[in-house]
Amino acid sequence: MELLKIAIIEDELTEIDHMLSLLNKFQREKGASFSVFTFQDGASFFASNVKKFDILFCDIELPGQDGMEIAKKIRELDEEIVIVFVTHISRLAMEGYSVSAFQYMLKPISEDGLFATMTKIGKLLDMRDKKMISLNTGEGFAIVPTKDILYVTVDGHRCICHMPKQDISCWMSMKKISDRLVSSPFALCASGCLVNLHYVKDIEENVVVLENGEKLRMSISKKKTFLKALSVYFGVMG
Amino acid sequence: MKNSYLFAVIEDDDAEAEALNALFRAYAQEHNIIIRVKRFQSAIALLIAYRSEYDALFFDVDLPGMDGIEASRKLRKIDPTVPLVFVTALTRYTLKGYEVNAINYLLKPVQKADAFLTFDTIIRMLSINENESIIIHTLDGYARVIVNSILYVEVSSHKVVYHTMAGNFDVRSSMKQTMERLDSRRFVLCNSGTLVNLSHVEFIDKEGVVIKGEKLLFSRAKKKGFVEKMNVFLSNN
Repeated sequence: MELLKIAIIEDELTEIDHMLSLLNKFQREKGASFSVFTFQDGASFFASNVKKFDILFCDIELPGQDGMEIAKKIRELDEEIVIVFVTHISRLAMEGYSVSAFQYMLKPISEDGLFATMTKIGKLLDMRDKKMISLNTGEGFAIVPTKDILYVTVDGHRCICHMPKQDISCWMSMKKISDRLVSSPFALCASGCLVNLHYVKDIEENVVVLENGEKLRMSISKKKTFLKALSVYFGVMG
Repeated sequence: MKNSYLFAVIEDDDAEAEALNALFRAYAQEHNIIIRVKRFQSAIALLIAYRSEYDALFFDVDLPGMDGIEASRKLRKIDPTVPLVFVTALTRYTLKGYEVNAINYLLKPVQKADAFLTFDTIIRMLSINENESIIIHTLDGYARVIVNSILYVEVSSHKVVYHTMAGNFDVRSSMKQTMERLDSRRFVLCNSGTLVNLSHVEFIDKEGVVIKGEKLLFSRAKKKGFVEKMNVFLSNN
């Protein structure tokens, strides 16, 4: 499971805490890696870049738009996102089918229930066709999904592909790698640093902050084009 | 896109079955397609003869012998993807439908609008590549396997073993027959007895390929061809 982006829409804070602790436990025990974003209503959810999310855990009883309406709206934008309803109300289970909900879970969510759901989702996402890149490691080629690469840095004659679980050192030039990644959302924030825009969380002064907390310096010469690429990417994604 | 479908209806009440047939006929006419229907009076009758040949299954829940929920659980073990729809007067199984990845849960009497939306979804699902599946003849019967869940296939004394993300299946077949069924741009031999799904290769070195942590060795005869096919595959994906 690569760095999945999970959104939780839930207005009760104790429920959010419960979900977060279960998800953290799952990450630790199964060696998965996620970044989780929480929202307390539909409005704040849609104000973010919704198409970047892989999974949505959605309460139904919410202030403003209810969970079903939110799900219908996001389905219009994104057929692929996995939707899991998490609610006290069982009677809307039937409507969940109309938005192709993956699962309809009743609160309180058990650890087993969440783990089973996450495992099933993992298998589903694993089978989706992914864009791959082959990296010449010297001993052979590592074939990795481009979505797994957080950023690429230069190390002498080689490059290092930084991924959530490992760094792969490869005998390739930055130019060669960026040519191969041209159809994916990557941009140079400095001449020796190629960033996967999908994982950019924030920009601080001259630093790019990634979802996993890592910070990368932007060079003066690349800053403008990088920020432009970033706004195009987020603009396109809604 | 195909225009002829075979649906199975598992319903012990004749009037209910006919109501569903009327909906199929109306939909087929409106969309200019053919829908053939096979009727089963019980879940057991379906399961005994099941060969994964249906495009969709419509289950009543309240059935003699085994109920529809129990039957669909058993069914999912050998067919993880066939579109499943529950058609019932009972609301209390709606949550269970998610466990078996049902497409929809239609309440009787079935409304035309709901039924038609369901049929639309089924037809759309059947045309998506990711759901592409093949039916294999295992030692226990038949099973449907999602093509992209196949990691590799290896020959083993008069049979082949499909190593998939859902487990291994022993199949009465030869490597030659297996290769005829699978896209040769995606499934390539790394040695004469091992057919590899390129989309799951994690690492290649001089000795072989690694898939989900397992190393499969190259034979000298197959190595070069494999690497070439892998490069083509990567440039297309």
